[in-house]
Amino acid sequence: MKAGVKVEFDVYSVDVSHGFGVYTDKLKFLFQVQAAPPDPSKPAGTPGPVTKIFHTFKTPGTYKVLCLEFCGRDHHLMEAQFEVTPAQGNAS
Amino acid sequence: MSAHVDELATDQLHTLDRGQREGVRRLTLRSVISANLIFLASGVLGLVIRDSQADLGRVSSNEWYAIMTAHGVAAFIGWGAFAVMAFSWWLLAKLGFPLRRFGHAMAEATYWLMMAGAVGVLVTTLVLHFAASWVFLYPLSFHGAGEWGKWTTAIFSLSVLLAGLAIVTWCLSILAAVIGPALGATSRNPLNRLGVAMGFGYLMPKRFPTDESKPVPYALIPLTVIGIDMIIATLPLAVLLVMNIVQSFVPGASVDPLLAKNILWWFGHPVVYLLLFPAAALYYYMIPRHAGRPLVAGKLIAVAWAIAVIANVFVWAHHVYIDYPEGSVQGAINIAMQPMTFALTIPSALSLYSLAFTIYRSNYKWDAVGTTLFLGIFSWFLAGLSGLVNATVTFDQVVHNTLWIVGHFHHMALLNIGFVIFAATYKFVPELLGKKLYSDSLAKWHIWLTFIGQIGGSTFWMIQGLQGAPRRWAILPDHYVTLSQVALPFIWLMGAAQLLFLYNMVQTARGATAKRRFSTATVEGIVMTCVVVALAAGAGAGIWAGIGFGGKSGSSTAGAGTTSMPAQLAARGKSVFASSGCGACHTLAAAGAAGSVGPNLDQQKPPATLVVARVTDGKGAMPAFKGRLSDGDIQAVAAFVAQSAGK
Repeated sequence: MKAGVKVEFDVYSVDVSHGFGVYTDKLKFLFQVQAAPPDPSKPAGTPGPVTKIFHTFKTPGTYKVLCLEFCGRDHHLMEAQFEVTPAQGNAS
Repeated sequence: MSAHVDELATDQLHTLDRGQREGVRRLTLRSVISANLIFLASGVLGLVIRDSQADLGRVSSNEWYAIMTAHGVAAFIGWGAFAVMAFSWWLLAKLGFPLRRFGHAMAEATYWLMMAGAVGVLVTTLVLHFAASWVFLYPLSFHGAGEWGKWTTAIFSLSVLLAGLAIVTWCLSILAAVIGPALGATSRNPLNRLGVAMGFGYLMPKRFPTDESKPVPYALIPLTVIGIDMIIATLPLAVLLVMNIVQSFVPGASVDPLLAKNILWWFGHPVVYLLLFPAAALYYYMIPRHAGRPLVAGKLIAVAWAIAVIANVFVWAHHVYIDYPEGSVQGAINIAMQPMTFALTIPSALSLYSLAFTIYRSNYKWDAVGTTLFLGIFSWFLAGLSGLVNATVTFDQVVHNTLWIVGHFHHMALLNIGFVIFAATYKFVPELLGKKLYSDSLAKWHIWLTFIGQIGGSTFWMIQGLQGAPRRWAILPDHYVTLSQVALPFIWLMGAAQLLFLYNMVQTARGATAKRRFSTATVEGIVMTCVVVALAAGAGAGIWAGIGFGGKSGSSTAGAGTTSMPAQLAARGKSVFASSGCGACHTLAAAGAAGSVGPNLDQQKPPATLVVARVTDGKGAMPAFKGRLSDGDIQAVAAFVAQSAGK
């Protein structure tokens, strides 16, 4: 992912409802969307319906993802992170 | 208008025959006492989880979520709903509307169904570890992660179903009473009478003819509205709960998760008004009597409630504003329900207008009941404003599932609905007992301390929410912990104030009379004692749990992606790491391990979730530890690795 370039996130769940909340590494909230679960009658691991959300990250750096829908015992452990690199030509 | 003035002067209880009066008195009293005891219990549960979140007396994750589930159902349904439902029966009696035979049978059923539901919820959560939260978002109830099984899901669903049926039987008891002979409708057609009870006679007197000497009391209108709406709202939820029970035993059975979510909120929104509308009825009854003049209202109030009866069941999607998966029309439903939600501010705004101007320039009695009612409508207004934020799609996308929401609904539920319940308890319970309220000044202290405590509690939640703090996180990221700690004294103050409430009501029931008005010094002494006891109990709980305030050492150096873990969990994880032989294959400096078979954990710095997944199910050469290590051990070792890798 590059700064200044619009990114499409395709969000879904393979088990229960989750929330996809994106934050800066200083935990400033940016945006969120729900991750929809599949019908439980489908085989395990089947993805749920996709929800799309678009975002253009202005500044390069590390971003965090926090789960923003209660999903059970380990809900608060659901964190991830990703990097946004400087846009081409802007690299220092 | 003159008829309303007359109605003010006399209580219509005497128009009920003795048996009916005695029946509704006992039923109301029993229900109100049960509901208030559930309140005290759920309050303690609330204190435990907020303490834990502030790193004082940590409870384990599943336990935290199980307590959260119990606290939510118990406080909202077992106290908020149950208490206003019970006071509604007494209110009807005072307006001259007996429950009659059928209504009384339904009311009796309401009590027992509610009690069975409450016991079931408390047992399945606190004993059997069910922790899918009180919204049990389908299919989460079937993903217990080994903490609870299908039987528990079935019993929990059954318990909620019983509470749901209690709501339906209550609706039937109310509707049976309002269309009874006490109603001034001249038609015998039940549907026409229902229209009269909803205030339609004020708007269309020819269509809904009413005996002029018996105008419809305003308090009857919101009760009739919610009596109709909660039947419509609850039945689909009942079907969903039955499906949950079926799925517990027939694995093939399932429901579409998005449909289930809509059904949940189809019920979940109106249930808020199961608290608010009877509360409005109680305001309509009590405030004019305190002001010594009729409610400042007119035909418009009937318009407002006509909007409410429709809009109430068409706003559920504002709870799922950020759900819009491809291939569904959910996004369109959500947008359509934004203006419907705004329409629902009309009954609230008109009610607030009427109530405020009934008080304005009247000889309002500022005793405990009067003060409580005033603070209640003030909170209704304030919490309504934060509700408008949630009702607006663009704002909701920021605050959804953050602690802002928790701040908003505690503000509304405790300081508006709860204050109506306190006012009604102070006003009606002595009357139901045939005794005098023990101390009005003690009641005022209770109210003011609760008000200050919860204003503080809600404000800090809302600030945390605006900072992005997620809702329903047993352990919040470090970033948010300080404010959780700052909020604690307010929460404890609020908790301690309830001891005054309990003491006052016990003394009232005993028939004790304060010889004279409590002197300020005496009350201050009691209040200070409560505060000190609460502080000591809070601190004691922390020390007892062996955690105290030191649990966060080193957290400021924790790397990105880790949350604050109590030292206890990490220490347990370290010993699991050693005893399970992780170090034979992995490098982790914090554990003194230098294995080279598997990934170097100091370099990989895996998040806790990944460690849980790999340790549980294994991958490639990594063996699965499921069955060899308990879930708690796996969680502990994951916490340890996530926290210490790369240090």
